[in-house]
Amino acid sequence: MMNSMALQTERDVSDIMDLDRLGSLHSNRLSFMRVLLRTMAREQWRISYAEFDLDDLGYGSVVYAVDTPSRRYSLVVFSSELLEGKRNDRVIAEQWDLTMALCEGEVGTSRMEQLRKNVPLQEAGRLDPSVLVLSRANRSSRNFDAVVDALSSGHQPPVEQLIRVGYLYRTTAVYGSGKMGMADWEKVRTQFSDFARPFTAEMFTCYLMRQFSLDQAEHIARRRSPESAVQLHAHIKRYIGIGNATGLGMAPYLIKHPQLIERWVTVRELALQRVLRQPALTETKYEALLRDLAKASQHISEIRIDDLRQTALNQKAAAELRTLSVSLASDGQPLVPATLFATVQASCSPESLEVLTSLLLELFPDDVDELADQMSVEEELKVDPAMDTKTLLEVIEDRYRWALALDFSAPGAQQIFWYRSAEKLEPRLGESGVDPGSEWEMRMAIARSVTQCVAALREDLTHHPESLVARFLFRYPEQRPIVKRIQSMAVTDCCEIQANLVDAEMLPLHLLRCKLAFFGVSKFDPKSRLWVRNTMFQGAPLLEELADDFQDDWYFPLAPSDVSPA
Amino acid sequence: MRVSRNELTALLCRVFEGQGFIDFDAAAKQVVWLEQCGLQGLMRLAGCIDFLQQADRSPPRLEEEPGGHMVMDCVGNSALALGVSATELMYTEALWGDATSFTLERFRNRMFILQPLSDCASRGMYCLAHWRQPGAASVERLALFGAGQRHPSMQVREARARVASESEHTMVLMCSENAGPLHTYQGEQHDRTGPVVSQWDAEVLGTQHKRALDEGFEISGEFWHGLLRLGERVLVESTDTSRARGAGPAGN
Repeated sequence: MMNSMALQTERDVSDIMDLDRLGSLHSNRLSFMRVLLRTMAREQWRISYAEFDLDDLGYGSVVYAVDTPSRRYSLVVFSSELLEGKRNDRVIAEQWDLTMALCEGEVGTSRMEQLRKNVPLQEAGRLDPSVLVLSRANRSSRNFDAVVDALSSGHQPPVEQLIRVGYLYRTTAVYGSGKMGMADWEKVRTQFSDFARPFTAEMFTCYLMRQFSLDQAEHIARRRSPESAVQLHAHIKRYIGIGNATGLGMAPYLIKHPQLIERWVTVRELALQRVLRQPALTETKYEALLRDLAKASQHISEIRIDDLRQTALNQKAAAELRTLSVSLASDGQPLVPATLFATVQASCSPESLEVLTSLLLELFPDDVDELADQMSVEEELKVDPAMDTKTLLEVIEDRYRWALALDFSAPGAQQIFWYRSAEKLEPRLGESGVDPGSEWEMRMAIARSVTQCVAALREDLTHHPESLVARFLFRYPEQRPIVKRIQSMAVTDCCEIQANLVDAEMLPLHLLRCKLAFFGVSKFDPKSRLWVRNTMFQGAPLLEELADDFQDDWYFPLAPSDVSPA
Repeated sequence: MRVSRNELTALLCRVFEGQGFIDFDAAAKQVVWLEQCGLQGLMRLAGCIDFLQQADRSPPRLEEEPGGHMVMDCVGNSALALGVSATELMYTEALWGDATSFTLERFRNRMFILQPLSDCASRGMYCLAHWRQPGAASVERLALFGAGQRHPSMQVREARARVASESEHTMVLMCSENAGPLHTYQGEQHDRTGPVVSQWDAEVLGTQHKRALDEGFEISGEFWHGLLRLGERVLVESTDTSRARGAGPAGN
């Protein structure tokens, strides 16, 4: 297994892997949604209805047949009536407006009945290895009703409302990787080449969920007022994405899969380094960058959220990007990517720098896109028992210097703990010494474990100055999990997310945003320090637009201005 | 019922964590690996789950003898708790010598050593495990891994000679960068006169491994739900406060 990609960067790894920095990431052309749509367009995936059985109110089932060059899949959607009081985005919910499953092959009558019995139950149902993804979504009632009302009366929905909430449904969980009896990730990776990249099947399911939301809204409007109903304007349709609510449950994934997360960060960094080695921009690229800066600034200005912290960050970034755009336009000097990057790094906020990073990657698709194939890694944390303990200590002092620099005796440094609730295994945070459950604390405090390991190593070295890790672990078996992790991660380029995850001031939100940015979402809308809403596929080409004249330019989407009838 | 490897592994991690295993990931992997090879990891776990709940995990004692031989008194510990550490010790010794043999005494649930041994073999070592089962139908088992191989060839034979009762929890492991010492051991210690009860070659086990990944794992609903109950030990009871403060308010 190759652990390192031989990343050569002048950037400090402690800056790249700093949690606050990772919590400022934006999606980019290596994000999984972007890569998915490029693949679908290039390979001409064909998607059609195999079944469309919705009543006047949009309840019933729909099956999409998906034909890729390699095989057929089916996405089965069940739409049910949900009382307002039952709508809950948390994992602990038990009913949803929509439930769906992405399956291998066609869905015959008996299989459909099996799915009908189990998919609406979500975690309480059982599936089989022919199912790749299970998901559910809740309706944004206000938006959905407004869109249907407008369409059925022959009008387009008000854009201002869609600027506030750019979707009709929010997905609240997207399960893959063998959950509830579905196909294991290793099977998906090795046997379904269409979905062999991480989370591609999950993203595809969300993309079709967005398609369903548009289809359903138009269907209801048509059934309600056959004479007057109109279809959504293509620009508005494109602007409607699929919502997502992500809570604390996603955070432990990043810590439990350090090799995968490290790989994503490293690949993105590799792409950035390729761009920063480029000579001065050509005139075409220069103009494209100016356009993109203005677009990104406007996109951020259009974000309407309640969270004061994120709003302030957005306002600052929008202003900085606007200023940068104006300044570059008037400068007229040759623009070298590395110089621009260094200037922004020195003078602007992390949000702006991360936007610029995403935009720079857009300018060099030939250098960047091929790296999408590097986003997978075979994950396995392994002990190297033959390493001597002196070397292990040196490795830790080098690669985990950041962890050893933390002061765990400081007030609040160990104030929180992570645990799994008996309620659907939902990960939660507790306060040490206050909340019950600390005896079953999840292993999220990597930095603290590293410092404890170092103390044990130093103690052991006084008695056994010439010893191997195998012997050390025999004497100190409680150090095995952290040693396994340290030895596996130390050989990677970027190693670990650098943060004390049990500190009272730590923002779990940063972990969520980091992963969501790699997925490709936009419009982060923190609802607390523990969960965030966001929008997926907003601005993305529609199904019919993938077939011909696909434009891979849907990053930082803007509200449509021209929605007059075509 | 049929479950995936991922959900089985995740559940077993919670079960072993709840039983106080330090490296619960490793223990879960040992069970799943055996099951995936068709070597009845789940049935074997069902057979020892009560023992695992009661076992006090006293630290093992390691003795080294001349000539690259080690003895570990496992004081009744399970291969699920000690197997990885034992094979790592053996591996590091073998790196410096011609071969290492390792006798594990008072060592329970011996079959679960095979996955750690597979890891050892994947580091380029030839590995062997040999153990006897006393009783009315005494048998002896031999598992051999080629260097770099993920799966062993295995043979179970009826034991011709009487198997001492103290053999019930004893196992011999060998590890070498060369196949020679293992062949010598086989010639001297492995009684090949008894009729073969069952045997598997590495290729068959590898094929079974892949098939299980494709089709999932069959497990009785009763055992699955029993495991779920054991795994609940690591879950913290939900309260109105934790529901509201611990993960964010319900959204609408």
